[in-house]
Amino acid sequence: MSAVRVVVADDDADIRDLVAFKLEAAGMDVVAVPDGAAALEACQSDRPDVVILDVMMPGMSGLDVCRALRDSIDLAAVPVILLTARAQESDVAQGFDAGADDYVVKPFSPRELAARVNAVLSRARR
Amino acid sequence: MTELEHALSWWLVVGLGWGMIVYFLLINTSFLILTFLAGAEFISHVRRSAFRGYDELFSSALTPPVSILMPAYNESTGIVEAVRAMTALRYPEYEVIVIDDGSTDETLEVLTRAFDLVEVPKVVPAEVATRGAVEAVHMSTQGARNVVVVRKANGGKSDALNTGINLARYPLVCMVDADSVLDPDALLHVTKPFADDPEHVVATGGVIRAANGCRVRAGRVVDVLMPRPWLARIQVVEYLRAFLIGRTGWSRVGALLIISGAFGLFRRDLVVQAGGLADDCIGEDAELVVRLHRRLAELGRDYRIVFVAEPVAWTEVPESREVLGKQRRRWQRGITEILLRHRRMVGNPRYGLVGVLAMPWFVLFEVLAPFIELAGVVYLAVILGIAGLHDAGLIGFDVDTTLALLLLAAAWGYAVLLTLAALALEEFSFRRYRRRRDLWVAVLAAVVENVGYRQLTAWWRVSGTVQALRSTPPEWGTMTRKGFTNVDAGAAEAGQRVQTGTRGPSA
Amino acid sequence: MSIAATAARDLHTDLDATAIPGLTRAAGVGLLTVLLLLTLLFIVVAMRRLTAEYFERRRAVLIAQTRPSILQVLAGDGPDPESWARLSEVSAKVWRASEPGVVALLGKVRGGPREALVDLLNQRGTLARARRDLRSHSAIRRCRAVEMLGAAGDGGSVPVLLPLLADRQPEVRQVATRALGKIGDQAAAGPLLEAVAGPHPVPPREVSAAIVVLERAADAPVMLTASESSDSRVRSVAAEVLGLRGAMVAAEVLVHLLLHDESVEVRIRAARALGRLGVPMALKPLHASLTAPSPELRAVAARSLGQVGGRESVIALVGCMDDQAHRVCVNAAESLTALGDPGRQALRVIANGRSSRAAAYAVEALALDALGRRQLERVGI
Repeated sequence: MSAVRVVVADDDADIRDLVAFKLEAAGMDVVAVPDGAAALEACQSDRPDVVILDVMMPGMSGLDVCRALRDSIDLAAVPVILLTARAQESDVAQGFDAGADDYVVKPFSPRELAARVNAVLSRARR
Repeated sequence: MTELEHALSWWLVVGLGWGMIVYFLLINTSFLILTFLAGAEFISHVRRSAFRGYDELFSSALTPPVSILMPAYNESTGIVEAVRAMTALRYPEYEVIVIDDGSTDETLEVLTRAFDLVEVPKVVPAEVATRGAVEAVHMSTQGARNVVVVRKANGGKSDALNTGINLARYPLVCMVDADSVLDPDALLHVTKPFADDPEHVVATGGVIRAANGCRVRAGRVVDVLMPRPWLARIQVVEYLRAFLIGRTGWSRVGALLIISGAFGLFRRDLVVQAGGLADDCIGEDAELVVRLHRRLAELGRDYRIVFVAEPVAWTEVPESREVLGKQRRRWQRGITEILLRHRRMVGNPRYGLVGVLAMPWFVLFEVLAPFIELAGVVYLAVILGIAGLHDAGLIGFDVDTTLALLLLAAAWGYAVLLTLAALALEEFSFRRYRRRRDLWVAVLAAVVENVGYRQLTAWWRVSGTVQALRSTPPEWGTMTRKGFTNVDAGAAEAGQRVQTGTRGPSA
Repeated sequence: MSIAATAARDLHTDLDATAIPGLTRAAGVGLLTVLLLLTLLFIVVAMRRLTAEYFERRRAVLIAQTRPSILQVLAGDGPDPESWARLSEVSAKVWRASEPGVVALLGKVRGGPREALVDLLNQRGTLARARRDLRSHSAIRRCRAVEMLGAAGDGGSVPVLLPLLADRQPEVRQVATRALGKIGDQAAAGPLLEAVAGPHPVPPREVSAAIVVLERAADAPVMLTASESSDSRVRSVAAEVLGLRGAMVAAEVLVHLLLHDESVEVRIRAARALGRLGVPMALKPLHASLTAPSPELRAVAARSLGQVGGRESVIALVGCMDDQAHRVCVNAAESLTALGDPGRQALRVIANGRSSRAAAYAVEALALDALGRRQLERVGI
């Protein structure tokens, strides 16, 4: 079985590195990109198993990417986890409205994130 | 030549000459003081910027929400991109209100498609008097949910903004131009003074810089480069001097007279109380600020109007002489009208430093300057001409050219130094020019500015002031916009945009 | 020749001999000074640019030595002796260069591995140095030190951080406020509140934000005392915080503030807070506030009633629809839609009713409500 493929999009290099580190240590294949447009491109070129998106990014926001994925045909079922500093009720609601499967608030625990990734993957497999 | 003639000529030459020299020394030295003040402000302000907690401001539920007002007239080619860029700003809660001022092109249609606009029966209060009736209000349903588009009958920029103010639902209103490209954190920066000092701060403004030649990607300026045409290059350094240095300096003294309409944040309730923007005045954005000063001083309120040096609104400056000329005439006409309208404030201690320092400065050094400037050019030409003729042995009349040289140094040489100082400060504090050669180009532009550009703008400004004094009907320019150098392939067809509007006066 | 002309000529000669050359020299010297100053500025700027690039590159090299290990520690599953050892042994110079990066990272993660990094900071003396730097003359140094202590959650430095709430420099005060919030020591709540009204005040919003994250501070007696403070700014902050983190106890205090406080600002905050709390005991006081003299208070009360919910408010809100102030009508109508079917029904009645002004607001609210609904349908709920 090939390695799990993850696309991580965040304009903050620290976050990209942290998430990549954590998930790669767990044996996953991580593609880290700095903005929404690149994330969409990465998803379209090679279908990922899960996508982790920051919401506030230049150009296409994480919500835009999420909606684009949900609107597409072959990528609509890809699980999406939003990882963001925006913690207000309305932000969370908007995130789920856009079609996200999970919403993680920064500051985050890398271990917890990995656990959520696994949970979301096993849900998707079922 | 008789003694009398000799004496007379001497008095004329020397008297006039020294008069102008003193004038230029005064204006340039006052700007030097502003430069020092601005420098002090940058050094302390910028270094501490990292500790101001903009990230916390962004994630806090207590951050005051903002209504962005964007008046638009026939902006169909670039409006979608502009609005998209506004919705991507780093700010917790805000709405973007686009006021379609009776466009005759497809502005509304284009917006409707891009944002899935739906017409809503919104009640628009008449807190500020408006002329052009509101025809419809549309709200976005897909994607960015905070876009509101108002379609109204044409009434001019002030009227559009006043309609936007009426419709705005948040306590702070941010006025931007349809072609302003804001830095992503810009809104956080201009809001911070309100968040920190809600009892006193009533308006804030940010820097306006020229976007020509810069790389714009997804609505953000990603690379700051000098443009190619010299006219644009000169304006780049001019904006640095006038906006970055000039306004920062004035703000530090506490006598900031005006904020640009291309990027200004105001307390909505005070703007409504003041009656909104004037629709019979050309520099309506500046006039609003002056009127706020006036009202608040008359009410005896303790208030602050702040200029924040970091957040930048990038705007495209005219690259054709014709459009530039119309723009400068308009600006100068605007400032003259404002000073005439509020002339009771000039030199009046009741209005604090603004009345005692800023307004007289504007009268003496903004309105009068181009007249003296042109007089200086004539003077120089005559003196040097006579000297030349004398040397060629054609006439017996001689004049001392040292005065002329001194005038040159005091007026142009000094000005070059000030512009270079502005450049140096920008480089020191913000370092936005990545390529070293852009800095050299800027240095050259600072020098070249004084050979032709300065005189041209003086001429335009003189005619602007004269127009204001005569109250002739205003001249509205149409600017054919080239669009920015755009890296995004999809958006590379920014193409031609036609814009009618005004941007705030300089310095 | 006439007298005037002679006088003029004589003056001319005098000036020519004395004043003019003097003035010329003075002007020339002045301009040269400016030129000199500018050249100096140029040199400074050029030097800074060149050296800045050089130093940045050097720093990047230094940071690259520690970053992988730091990420390893933070992203690791458990204790990581290898990375730890590597980081403990790295030279002081390298460590100093890495510190800003560490502070940034500390702010982005939470959990067990983060504590390991903090231990490392302690072990390397970073925190001790930061505490010393709190007394530095340089405001930037003080800021950085405070930031470090806050990011590390160093409870031990709370006593030395508290005095900084009255620091001369506004940025230091603000960083100290935030740091105290991050550290989470309840004891800071009282001093934070006092800082709102001090001679060098801290922005109320910063204090509210900091107190809200202090553990259980909102339940502490400190907040109740604050709500009785003589300074309206302190009471405002108290009202705001109680709304964001309050429990049942808070509701009583807020009701009292809403009905009896002398400052309109405080009453507005209390109304907003009661909306956030959403407790039934807020209903009567909010209804009463719908007829307050201040239009802003009426508007906030109308909005809060929508958040609290309950059919009882329908009648009160319907009464609001004829209010003079625009905001009040809009909020009342919006709140009615939030009250479920009874509210919507009432709106429909108004929409068909005689008062055209109220009808317009009702139509607006119903349309926006329908829009909201349509949104949900599209996503498949």
